[in-house]
Amino acid sequence: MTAFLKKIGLADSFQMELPIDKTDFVNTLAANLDEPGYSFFEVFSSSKNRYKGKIKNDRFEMARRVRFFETNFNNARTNGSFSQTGDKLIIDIEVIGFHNVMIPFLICFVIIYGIAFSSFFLSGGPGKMDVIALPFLILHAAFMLGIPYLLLRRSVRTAKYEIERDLFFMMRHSPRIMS
Amino acid sequence: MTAFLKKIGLADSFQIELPMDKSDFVKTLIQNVDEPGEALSTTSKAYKGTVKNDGFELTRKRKFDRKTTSPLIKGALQQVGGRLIVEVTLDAFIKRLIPYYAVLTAICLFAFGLLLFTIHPGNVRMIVLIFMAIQVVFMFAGPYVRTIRSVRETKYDLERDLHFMMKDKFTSGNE
Repeated sequence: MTAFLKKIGLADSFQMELPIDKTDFVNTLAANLDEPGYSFFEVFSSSKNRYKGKIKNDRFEMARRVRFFETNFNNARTNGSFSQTGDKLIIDIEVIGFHNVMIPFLICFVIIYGIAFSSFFLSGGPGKMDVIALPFLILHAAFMLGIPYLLLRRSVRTAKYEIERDLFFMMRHSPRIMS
Repeated sequence: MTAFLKKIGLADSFQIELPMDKSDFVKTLIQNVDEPGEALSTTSKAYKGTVKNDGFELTRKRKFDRKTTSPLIKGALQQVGGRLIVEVTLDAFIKRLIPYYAVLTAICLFAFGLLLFTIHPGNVRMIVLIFMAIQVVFMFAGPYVRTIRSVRETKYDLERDLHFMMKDKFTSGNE
């Protein structure tokens, strides 16, 4: 599944190295993450943290916190695992833009356009309107699927860009990064 | 004026301290910033602007900041011992908002005048008035909220991005 998502650009993975100890990393990251989970009051929270998520057994999971009036698609999830190699911490990060919530929408999409196309081809005799209706239908389907897809791809790219910088910035007070 | 703008969140100034040399900083920043005016450039750089020996003037490129327009970022560099102090001022281009607010005010006055003086009083007038008031509040608040948000975001992002750009160039600041 993830391999397929990566191929179509809805997931991505990369590696980063930080000169930091594992305990330092875990403590700092924990201080910079809010409690996970969705709640209605999340937008009113006064927390300064940009991410919410949890850390467990050398793995972490994080996503951008929802902010007031922020409706752009920046909610790609991030899974990471880290391991200490010498005095460096190797962090493998996977960004996933696809949520399981979207599967019902995809199914609806297939059903609705399936009905539309089949009724177009199976019903009635040919008429003048066919020439207009078919390209319009194809165009409509392409936009309905294409625009969310492009937005999601963009959210993955943005999340990748942001997470690398945000992680480094969180860890900046570590003695070996800058004193 | 600037103090007032800072108070309402349309301008900001702060310091970033980096344990590094000024020449290193300038060299790295030039590599990470596009020339001004490259609207369609495909590089993955997040800022564009000019960098000089003792300061810089940048704006964020739209690519990574599609929420709103970027404030103007001005920085002055100062070396103090082994540390570089970057004095940053953010300015949110409020002059660009003035025409918008002028036209909006004119339209509002016209609409309210029309409503209050021409339509006969009745139940409908009250409802229309409430709707219009809500719409006016949103129209006025929208650009303002977006602008102060862009200033706040830019403050965080600039500090983060500078740290990230310079990550291989840090010298120990305690020397």
